[in-house]
Amino acid sequence: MNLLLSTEEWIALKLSATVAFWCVVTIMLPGIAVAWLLARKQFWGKMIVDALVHLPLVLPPVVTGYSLLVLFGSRGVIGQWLKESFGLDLAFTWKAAVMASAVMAFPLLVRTVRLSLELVDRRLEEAAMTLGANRAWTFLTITLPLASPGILAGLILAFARSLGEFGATVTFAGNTEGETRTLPLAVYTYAQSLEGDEAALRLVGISILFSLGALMISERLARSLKRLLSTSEDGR
Amino acid sequence: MLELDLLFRRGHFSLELSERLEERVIGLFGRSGVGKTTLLHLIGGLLKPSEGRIAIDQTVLYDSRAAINLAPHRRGVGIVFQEDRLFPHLSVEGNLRFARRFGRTSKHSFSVSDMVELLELGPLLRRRPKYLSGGERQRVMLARTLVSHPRLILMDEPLAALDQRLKGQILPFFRRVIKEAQVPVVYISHDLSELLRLTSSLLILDNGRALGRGSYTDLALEGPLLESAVPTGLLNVVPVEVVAHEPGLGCTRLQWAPEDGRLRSPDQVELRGPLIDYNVRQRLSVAIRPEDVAIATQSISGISFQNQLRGRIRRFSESGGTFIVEVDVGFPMLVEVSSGSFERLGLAAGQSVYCLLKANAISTLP
Repeated sequence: MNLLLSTEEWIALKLSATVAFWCVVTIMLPGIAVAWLLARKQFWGKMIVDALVHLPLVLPPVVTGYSLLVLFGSRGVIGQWLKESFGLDLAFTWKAAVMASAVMAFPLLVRTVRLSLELVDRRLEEAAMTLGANRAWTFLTITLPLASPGILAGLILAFARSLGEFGATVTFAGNTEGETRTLPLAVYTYAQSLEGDEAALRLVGISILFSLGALMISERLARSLKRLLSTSEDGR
Repeated sequence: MLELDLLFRRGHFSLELSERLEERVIGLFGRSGVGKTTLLHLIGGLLKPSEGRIAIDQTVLYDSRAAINLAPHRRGVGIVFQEDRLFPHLSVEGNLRFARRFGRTSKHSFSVSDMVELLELGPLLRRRPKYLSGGERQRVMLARTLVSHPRLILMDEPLAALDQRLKGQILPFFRRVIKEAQVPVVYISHDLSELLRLTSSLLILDNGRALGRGSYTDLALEGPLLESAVPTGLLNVVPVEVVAHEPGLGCTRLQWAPEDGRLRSPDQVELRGPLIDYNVRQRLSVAIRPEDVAIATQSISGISFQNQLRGRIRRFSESGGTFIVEVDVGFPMLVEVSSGSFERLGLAAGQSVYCLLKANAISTLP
């Protein structure tokens, strides 16, 4: 068996990485903001927001992808407006792949960040405020650094989720080689074709390495961050 | 001046207070659960009163009628918390710089290096809080609060989590800072001996109400007032300096040494305490329980008591069959006398008496 990747396989790999990268970049700030709202604020309709954010986690991915298509497709409610006002056609482009995986990864990010924000000792924030730091500075200099292991874990989880996204992507972005055929889509396509077994296996191997690597790096980072932030010497 | 006019309700607990505190250092005394920490959170803006007014000098921090409620970061109220609230992700120096960066600016104020010197923090600067001992943490918290240049400093039982020995090591730092700081300090504690070593102006809190306010001796003579708040009884806390050790007599000679630098003379009151492990000229505080002191109307020879302090009765009060008598022996000494003895001796204000106590009645405060 030939272990070298073919050009098409390389393209799929690079595309996957690009899509995952932009997915993480897109959801980072909104994810932290929503997580903060859910962790710290009481407001009317909080349960609805919470449920909406988590919906993609429980819906079949195809349903999520199809909903995106209905909303953002060229004849969709928002899609039509985007096309007419900005000449933007999202569906079946790589941006659609980013969007699909962003929606799928968003709840994972929010959940993880929310949990880590809830674990930040509020008394430290109080101390910062009595020393003269306003809410925004307190958040930036105390809350955010103390929640950073969780935020980092959430971002890596989102990255990994995006790498593996299949259902929503194939429905909303399609399976166009070089444009929207990410790693899982390529594996599926090769597995369907008669001579694709070798290529599929190579990509499966790459996927496993990629995912293992991501998990190990995140574990390492989280552990050293936690050590840095712990309050007692033996704390973890 | 700290102006408090407060009403705060939460569940069954209510706190109601109307005080104008002019003393620079005030000891807020009360058992746990009487609302001391709540009061402090109200002043610091971490809790909102139901109604009332809080002001420091001309600055209004809270006024329900004028709809003023300054956010905690704009109040300039520094709090030295009881438990460790150092920022774990910053070094000691980082913690201090944080306070300097966000704190107020003022003319006479401590710089980071002033505090490092005053509290001997040099060797700790690069360490993270988790590598500090309990006592070191409290010192850094104290420094951090001062570096932020607060208008008012609230100290919430900062030594409560430390053991007796450590308390003795840290307390002098607090005393030093309180002396140097130009701003009002409210020191909260349920430990009378700790409070009395920092100030004699007390505000007694019980069940969300002020039970009494004034100098310690005044409050002690208002009898039941203080007793109800002091489950452990009254205490004389006397600052002294070691004069000499007398191993032959089994005692250490101590001389009364007031903090405020009143001139000391050779004939200043001398006490004989048990042999203690302090150097000559070293200063410390000793505690004497009023019930361990006896009163005699004349000097007595042929008695084993090592201390006979001559003094004059200034005033007294009775509660529950015992008299609390204040005798001026150079410093005010509270003495507990049963009403039987009080009448038998015919004690009266202005009378010259002797206070008798054994060396062992004098205990050092750590």
